[in-house]
Amino acid sequence: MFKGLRPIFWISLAILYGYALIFMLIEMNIPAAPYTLKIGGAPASFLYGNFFGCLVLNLIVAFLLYWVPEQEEKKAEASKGVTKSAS
Amino acid sequence: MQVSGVVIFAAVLYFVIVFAIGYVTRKASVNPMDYYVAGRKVGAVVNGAALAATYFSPASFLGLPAFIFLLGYPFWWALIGIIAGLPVASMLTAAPLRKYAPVSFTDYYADRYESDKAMRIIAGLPVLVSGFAYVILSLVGTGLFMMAILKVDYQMAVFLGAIAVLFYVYMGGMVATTWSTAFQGLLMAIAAVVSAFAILSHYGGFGALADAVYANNPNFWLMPHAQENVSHPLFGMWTGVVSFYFIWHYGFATMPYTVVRFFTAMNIQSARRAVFWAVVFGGSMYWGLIIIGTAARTLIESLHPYVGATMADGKTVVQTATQVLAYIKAQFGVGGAAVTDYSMIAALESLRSPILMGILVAGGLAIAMATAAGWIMVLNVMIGRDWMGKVFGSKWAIENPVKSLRIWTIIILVISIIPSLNPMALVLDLSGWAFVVIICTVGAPLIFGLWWPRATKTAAYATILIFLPLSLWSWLQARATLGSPHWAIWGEALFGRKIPVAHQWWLVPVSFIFFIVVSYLTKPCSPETIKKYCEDLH
Repeated sequence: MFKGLRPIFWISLAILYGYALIFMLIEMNIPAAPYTLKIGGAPASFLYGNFFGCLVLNLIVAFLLYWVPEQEEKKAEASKGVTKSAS
Repeated sequence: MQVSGVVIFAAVLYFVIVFAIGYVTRKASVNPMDYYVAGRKVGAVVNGAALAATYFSPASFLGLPAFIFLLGYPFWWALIGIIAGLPVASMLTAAPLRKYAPVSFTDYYADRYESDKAMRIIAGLPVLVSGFAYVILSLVGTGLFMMAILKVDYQMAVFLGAIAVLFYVYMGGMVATTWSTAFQGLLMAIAAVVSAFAILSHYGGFGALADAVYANNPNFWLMPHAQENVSHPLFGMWTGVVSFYFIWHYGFATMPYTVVRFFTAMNIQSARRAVFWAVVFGGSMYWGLIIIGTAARTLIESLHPYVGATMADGKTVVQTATQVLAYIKAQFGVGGAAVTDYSMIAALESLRSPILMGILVAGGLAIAMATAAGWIMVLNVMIGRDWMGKVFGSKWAIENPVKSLRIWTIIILVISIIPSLNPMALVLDLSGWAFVVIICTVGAPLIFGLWWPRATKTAAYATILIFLPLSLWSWLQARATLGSPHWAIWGEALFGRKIPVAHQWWLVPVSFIFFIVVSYLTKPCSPETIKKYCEDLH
């Protein structure tokens, strides 16, 4: 099952779900954490939830999920070319 | 309240551009392949914007800020989960499906599960009910936006929205749908981001906004378990937060109206890159929607022009946000639309900026019409090409593919307009079930069919036929007996208390496990089919 899915897919899932799990656990164990934990005078939840969780982290993962396969495909093409010229 | 000329100009300009796209692209869709899948020539940025606009419906633009308004901070996690589901689709379904390059959603099921006619009908059933639910929801969303912001008669607004969608889908098929939807994707992201910046600028930054929200309602920021109080009973347990995170999470990878967009990509690389751009547009919009939903109650109660007005009973003076929304609803009264459906519009109305309302009306119309068009393209290809031509062998549909789709576009819109004119609350609520039903019926056969050689035809049939009625029954049962579809129907029987589970989301993992068990017990597909899907496509 799921044989053939590249390792970057599983790494991406670990990043996305690990990130959500860590911050959910923090919020469920520190009273009123979404409001009381602050960075620069504003609740940290705006940074880790609204900005990173909703946008930046997903952009990074979406980038990795197209960039890594493209690099692998380029390498595979290049090695095919080398094999052909050698033969 | 008077409607500003700027707002009217923005709405008119929006319609002119959408009609122009339909007119300009009419000659690009004479060929059936252009009409079905835009000739598979769509680039990554355009497809990404179109993916985002198609996937996010009025349920996002109106509904999600309303949910934050109603349920508080824990609902932020639902929005984070939705966007996190976009990149997951990149490798799971987008790349392999583009490589296989089918024309319609049911092509894949018919071919993968070696059942050309029956599978097209069975796999199409959840798509049919879900599709109509979403088209109706989108038309209602278009009507609500035009009525609440432009003060246009609601029924007239629904007709106008439907005619615009009909025009460009009829004229340009997937080509027009792609270009207009990409334009709409850009607009909706701009509308949400500009609105969010306007709110932040009004309060003077994130910290001041958070303090104002805390002063208005300290419970807004509470997560379950950390304290005795909760932001809302649905977030009294971790199951509420986790289920809302996952409820829409896998939709992008499995919903027919997004999956068919992968078929239109130029190549596999373009399909993967389109997902990145969908995150750019969708993620920006959701960033803005979180700010809008968070500020909604505070903004309405402190600044809305209706605060201080007298309700219809002649006694009650409007003070709270809920009373403002009830006052608005009483003025425009649209069937089963919930009071909170107006919260996003009312929040931004409070800032009293005509330019902001102009941007908002264009963004709101964009998101509603894009979803309607996306679903209509799924339904007209499924009924006009797959069912009429491939299942029932209609010679006319086979010989006139574009005509057949155009006629079905008209029929689908006419059927959808009727309930949209005076929508029942149940019909609008059903959009929540319409999402779950797709993932728990055709979701497992789609994903496992690509990644598991053992996936069988019997398991696909059994999962669709069992979970279609089961999901509807459990959703209706929870709504009728527990007061909300977000309480699990088995909570009190198993644990002696109500357990929050968004839209009966528990059915999704259960359907996947069911599919695996039945697949192990039944005969797999032929080695050729398994090789084609589980090896060659990777």
